[in-house]
Amino acid sequence: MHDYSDKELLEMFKESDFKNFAFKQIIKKYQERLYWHIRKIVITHEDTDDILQNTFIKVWKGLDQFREDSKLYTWLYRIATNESLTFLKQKKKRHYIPFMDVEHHLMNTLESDEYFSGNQIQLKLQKAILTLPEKQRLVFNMKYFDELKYEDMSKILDTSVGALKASYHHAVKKIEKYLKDN
Amino acid sequence: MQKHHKISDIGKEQPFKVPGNYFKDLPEQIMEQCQEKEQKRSVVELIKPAISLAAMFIGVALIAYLAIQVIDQPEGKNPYRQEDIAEAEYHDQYYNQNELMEDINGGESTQAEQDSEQTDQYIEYLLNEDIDYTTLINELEEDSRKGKNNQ
Repeated sequence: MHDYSDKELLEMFKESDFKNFAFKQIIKKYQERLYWHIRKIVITHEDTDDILQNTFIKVWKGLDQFREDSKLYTWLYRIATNESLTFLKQKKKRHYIPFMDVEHHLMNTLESDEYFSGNQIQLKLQKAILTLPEKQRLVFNMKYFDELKYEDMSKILDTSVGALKASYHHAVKKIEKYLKDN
Repeated sequence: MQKHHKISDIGKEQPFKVPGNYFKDLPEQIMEQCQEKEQKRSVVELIKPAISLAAMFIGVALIAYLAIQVIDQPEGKNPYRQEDIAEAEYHDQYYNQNELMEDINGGESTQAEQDSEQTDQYIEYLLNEDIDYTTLINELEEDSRKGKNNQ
């Protein structure tokens, strides 16, 4: 199958005859990256599935207005991140979870998740990541697992590169301390 | 047992898994939802002008109906006719002392009224018997003289 560039896909999306085809290609191209990004934020497969579908529906509605001066994947990441954070906020409200206990709640979910296939040390790393504040957690996941550039992360999270570097540094220190102490 | 204190020792492998065929089926599922949304949006966009136009016509018709009702009100149905107002004003103006006294006395007729009624009865009797005022005076004077003579 021919791999279309983002530019080619966006041009095809503008033509009504190819709109559906182009969008399906965009989903195929980015679904896994976005899925894992969302999954690391909300932990369970079911929640990730809902958020990912909502993300792509929002992309479908807004792609006509997408300004091509930014990269498509940073825009997709941004929507996926916002959808995930909104979901967590709603979850707190819906289940009356105190603000500080969300990560604790996610830790319990992680242990009982039937789709968690990691070993003990991987579980420990995930628990350590869940002890981080929300923003540090996002930064760590995007840098460590997704290997995104700071410049792209800056566009996705609307934060300066310097602040992101500092955030990542603190996150690594805290995780290593957690691994040492536990 | 070896302890892992460095993140780099753990690796970057995803510790999560997904149900089989999840990524294979997902694009189709999302496309179906997008098509549904698109159809709903098309229907709404199609009927939106018609609904707006209908609402505008109903509004205009309602205003016209109310205007006609006010302008073309039949006189008999008007609860505020000029005659009614004039009559009410007249009653207010001439609510006199006698009516007031009558109301205070609980509707009992006064002595003045009783005298007036008696006088009316006398006049009516004289008219019926065709007795004119001069005859009556003469008779009364004659009676008076007879009385004096008798004394």
